This record gives sequence, C-alpha cells and structure tokens, in this order.
Amino acid sequence: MGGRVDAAVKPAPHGSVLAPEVVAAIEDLELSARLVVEGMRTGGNRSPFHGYSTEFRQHRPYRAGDDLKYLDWKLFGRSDRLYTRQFRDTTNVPVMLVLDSSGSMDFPAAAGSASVTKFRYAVVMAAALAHLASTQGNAVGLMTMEQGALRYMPARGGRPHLRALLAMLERLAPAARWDARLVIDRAAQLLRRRGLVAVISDFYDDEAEVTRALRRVTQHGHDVSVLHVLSPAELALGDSGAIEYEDIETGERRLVDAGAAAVAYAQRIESFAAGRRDDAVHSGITYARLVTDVPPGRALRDFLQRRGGARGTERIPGGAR
Amino acid sequence: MSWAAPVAFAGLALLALPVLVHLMGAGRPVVRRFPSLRFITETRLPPVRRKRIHDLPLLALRLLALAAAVFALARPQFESERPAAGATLARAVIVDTGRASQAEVAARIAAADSASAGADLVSVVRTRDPSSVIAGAAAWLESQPGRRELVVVSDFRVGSVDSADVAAVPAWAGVRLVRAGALPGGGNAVAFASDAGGRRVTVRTTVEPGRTDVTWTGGARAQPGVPVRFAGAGASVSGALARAVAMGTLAGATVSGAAPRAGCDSIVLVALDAGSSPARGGGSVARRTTDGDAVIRAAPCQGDLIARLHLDPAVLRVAGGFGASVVRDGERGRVEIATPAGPASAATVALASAAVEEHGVRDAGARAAMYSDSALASWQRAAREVRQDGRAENSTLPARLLWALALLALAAELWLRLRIQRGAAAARVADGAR
Repeated sequence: MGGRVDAAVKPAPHGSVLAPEVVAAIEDLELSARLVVEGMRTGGNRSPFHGYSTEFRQHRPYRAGDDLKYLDWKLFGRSDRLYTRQFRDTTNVPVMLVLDSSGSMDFPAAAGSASVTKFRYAVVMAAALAHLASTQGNAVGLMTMEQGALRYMPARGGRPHLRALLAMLERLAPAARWDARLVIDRAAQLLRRRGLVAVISDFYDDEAEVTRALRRVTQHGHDVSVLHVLSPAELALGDSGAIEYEDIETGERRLVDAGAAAVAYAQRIESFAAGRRDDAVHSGITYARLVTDVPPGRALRDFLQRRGGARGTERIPGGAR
Repeated sequence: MSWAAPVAFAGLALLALPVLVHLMGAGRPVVRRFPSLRFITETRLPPVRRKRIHDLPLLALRLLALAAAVFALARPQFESERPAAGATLARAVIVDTGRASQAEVAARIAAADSASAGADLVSVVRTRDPSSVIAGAAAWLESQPGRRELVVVSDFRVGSVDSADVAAVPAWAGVRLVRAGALPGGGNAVAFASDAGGRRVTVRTTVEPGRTDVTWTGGARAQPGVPVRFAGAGASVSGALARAVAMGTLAGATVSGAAPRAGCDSIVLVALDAGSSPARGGGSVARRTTDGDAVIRAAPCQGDLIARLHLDPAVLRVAGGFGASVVRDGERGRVEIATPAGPASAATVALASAAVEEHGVRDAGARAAMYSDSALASWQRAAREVRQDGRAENSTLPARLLWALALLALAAELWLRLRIQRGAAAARVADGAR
C-alpha cells in the first residue's frame, strides 16, 4: 500500500490537514481516507458515531412490562418510587452513503487543476466517512448511479466490506445520467434499520423533487446529512469578455459576456446554495457546504462538529426506550 | 553579399501565416465547460471590435523567427569587394557534349566562354560524360591558389550530372551550373500518334546527328479515341526492343533475364540509348543520389556505365524491371514519359508501347527528363576565399548566426507566451476571489 504513495506524501503531523490535491493524488483510496480521518481526529473532535453505545440518558417512571434489571433501586430507596433507567441505543448504526456521479461533478476542484475534480473530492470524503464509520464498528453502504443504472452496496460492517466499498468507490466515474430522486429513495428503502444517510452531491437537480425525497427519508426515521460539493471556480465566473460556456451534462452552449454575467451569477448560485441549506434545516437535515479548495480533513471535521452541535436537537436513531 | 539558394526567399510568403493565425485566433470566443448553465443568464455580448493586432511583441518574435529561418535557408555568402593579393580565381569549365546536336554543342561552348570570363585561370574540358571528369577537374582546382570554381555547362538531363556528383566536389570549391543547349519545351519531344482504329501502326523514324524522331501513325482512316494495337508485339521490353531493332533504331539488342548474378545486388533490365551501341541487359544499383536517382552500373557484371534511371515514386515498372516515371493524363488521354534515355531509344519505345497498350490511351509522348532549375540552384555554391593555410573560409557562419537568431526568437516567443498565459490565469483567479 505504501509503495504506491507518492514520495512527497508523508503522514501529516498532528493537527495538520492534507491539501485536496495531495489527498487526491494518493492512489490508494483507503490510505487517503485514513489520512483524512487521522487529520480530523487530531483536532480532538468527537466522532458522530460515538454516543450510540452504553451511555445513560434519563429516568422514566416504571411501566408494567419493563425489564426489572433497568430499575434504579437506589432511587427507589430515596424516593420510594419506581424509575427505569434509559440508555442510548447500544446497537451500531448503519450508514448509507449516497454519492452523486453526475457529469457536473466532473469539474475541476480548483482553478487550473484539471486532475482533481469535484467528483474525486466527493469520493475522498465518502471514503473518509466510510472509514470512520467502519472503524467505529458501524455498518457502511453505498448507493450511486453508474451508466444510468443503480449501483448499490448494502450496509455491512467489517474490514473486508470496507475494502470492497472503497474499491467500488475507486472504480466509479462521473457520467451524464443521474436521477437524484431515485437514488435517494432507493438508498433509504434498502436501509433496513433506521440509520444515517449522507448525500454527497452538487444538487444540480430538480430542487423540489430532491427536497421531497430527502424529507421522505427523514420521515422514514433516518438521520439525513447533505454534503453540498461546490468548486470555487463555480461559485464565481472568473472570466471576462465573450465566453461560450458549455454545460458538461447536456452539452448546451451559451455565449455570454462573462464580466457582465458574473454579478448575477454569483447572486444566483449563492441563493441556490442558501436555498439548499434552508430546505435542509427546515426538514431537520444536517447541511454542510464542501468547497473543494478546503482540505478534506478540515471539511470533514467541520461537518462532524456541525453534526455534534446540532445533535442535541436532533432525534437520535434507535433512541432511548 | 550573395545568396547561395535565393529560391528560399519564396518562403517569405509564409510570413503572412502567423499574422493570419494571430488575427483569426483573436476573434474566436473561448469555450469553457461548466457544471450547469442554469445560473448563467443571457447577456448582451460585448461589442465586436475590429480585428486588430494585439500582443505585438509576440507576433514580432514569431515573424522574426520565421524570417531568420528563411534567410538562413537562402545561405548568405559574403564576398570581399576586392580580392586580396594572391586570391586569384581559378575556374574549371566542363562542357557536356553528349546527346546533343552540333547546334546544341555550339550553344554550350558559347555559354562556357562567357562563363570563363573574369577568371584568372581557366581550364575547359569537353566531354560526353561530364560526371566522369568532375574528379579530375577538382584535382586541377586543388592545385590552384586563390578562389576556385567548377562550372558545368550542360542541358542537365537526368543522367548527365546529378547531386551526388556535385556533392563529391570538395567544399573549398564553388560550383556553378549553367544550362545551355537544351531544346525548347523540355527538348527532344517526340509525339506518338496512336489513334489507329485497330489498324496496323506505321512507325516512321528520322535519325539526325544527336537526335532521332519517331512517328507512329495509324491507317488512313484513323478513328480518334480507339486504343492502339500493335500486331505481334506484346507489352514486354523484349518485344519492344525487338521491334526497335526491326525499325532500325538499334543496331541490335540483347535482353538478359532478371536473375541476379554474383556481385550484383539486383539486376535491372536496362535499355540503351538509340543507335550508338547494342542493348545489353543486367545492372546493379551502384549508388543513390540525394535526389532519389539511382545510378545503374553494369559493373562488375558488365564493366561499364549503362544508364541512370530516375526512381520516381510513380515509377512504372515494365516487364523486365525497367523504370521510368510515367504520368498519365486521363482527361487528355495522354501519357507523358520522362526517361533518361533518348526519346527514340529502345527504352522509350518500349515504355511508350507498353503505356499505350496497358493504359489504353490515345497517344503518348516522351521527353528527356531534365533536372529542374530549382534543383540546380540548390546544388550550386559560391566560390570561396582560401586562407593562407589553404582552407576555405567558413562562409556558413552567417547562416549559422541566422539559425541561432531564429532559435533565440522562438525561445523568447515561448517565454513571452507562457508569461501572458500565467498572467491571464492569475487574473482569472483574482476575479474569482473577488
């Protein structure tokens, strides 16, 4: 594994993060995922997957049928009332990664960098999440679309499964056909228990349809996170003069004065991203914007911090009984 | 200052190319692939400016590189305005008297006389085979002081003097090639009428000193457009040779097979010039010139030079392996044959008959193949000063300097282009950041 790593890529010192181009240049996805996760851990963040273990949550008045072993006898001695102790779910949570493989993801992650694309960045993030979840004993699965067909790997635990999932991620390539609603719906349906669904996409789809699909997933009881992948080069039109823009997915071309269109474009793309965020918040979904010039380790840490901060108000999968 | 290859100045026309590319490239909109067009609104395009030159230094460097290359190819030669004491001019003049009428030979001698003017020492050699005396002329020049120049006066048909002969002249001697005594229109043209309407063809041959005309005519009621059929004659060289002998063009002919002999690379059947010597078969490719010609020598198989053949890519190999360039003009129903042999030679007759029969054309013409003026110009070089140590001055220095200038301009153009591209990329990033 180490033999394939570029000689310039060395394990990051504690507290540092690897630049996107460095992470993307690592051929071994497992290694790059591990490096991203290691970089994130050194920041001292709690994992989002911790806390689903044997952790006391609250007392509840005893009801007939409750298991007597959860009775708090000491409290009974003090208050002369029967209370049952409640814990967080002790089972592992299944994590389903939904990865956007549409053609629009095949766009440079940074200006002048054709080799690292948004898709590669998303793949590295997905791999890092999978690595993190798997090493903490959770089951990880993947749902995406390839050549117009759904590609699915069920959520399972274990290192062999993680390797298979990373290998599948490695083989994926962005393609023109992508049906966000179908992929999100099927991912939620195939997740047998309530779990965590992480959607990594640039969301250039029918906004209303995608919002409805995400809401359906939350209504099924899943914990949903969306990671909105955006390149700095698409947040602002950096050109001037007559430029003919070609849509990567449809091939449609539009000849515009880039300098004149830049202001309106910046407002509209910002409004689009804000709309995605507001829709997510209203639906109880964690939203994170991943701008691809941010090192993946830092982006992952910010995302997890956001999840951790919001968790108090969120419903916990398999919550207290 | 003189130019050894002034024909290279035609390349100056290429200077228009960078200007055109520059202007065309300026007006083309840049195409950028983008994730989605949904947020890019239609705008009014910026007003189209008149196409004008921009990045002038870039264009100037490109033009400079091209111009320097053209001038270097023209090979400038600097000559002293006043020859130094002892820098006399010795000139060896070779007059080709082969395959020429008396009038043509007289014209060549007159040209040689005028070419001799201005020289301090002159040696004139008349020969039917100029290439064979070049080495002797060079040896004579080597023994002379000052500048040395070799002059060849000929009609420069293929087979007389070629680039290999000129290349064999030592570098310290200049070479001047004077075409004279050539017949107008390529010379020695003989038309072969062939609209015989299926009748027997009559061949009429007129032999003059140095020139033979052959006329083939059909019957009295000839019908144009009908291919010629020769009674009893195939398309083979042997058949044609036999027919040529029968016509009296050749005293006799012997055709040997194409089987290789010991010491011969490949046997090529060669037909001979008309009327002078009997035909012999067999020869080997002795050497190839820089122009793609091959000199076919019978030695060591036969012992003497037989002929030189021009190995054109469009060479037609008739039965037996004889080669000559044949160009078919389908519209006019005519085949033109360029052959080193004489137009009335057995080889030409064989080729013509084969071409007429195999291509089904109405008529065929033959002319002696001449080296072009541009080829002659590229072979020439000016006479040079000789140093005290006997070595020629390095007159290639100006050309080398020009090549260096061209390379320097190219390097500067590359550097400037990269700088402009980097500046544009930085500006884009800065705009994006804003």
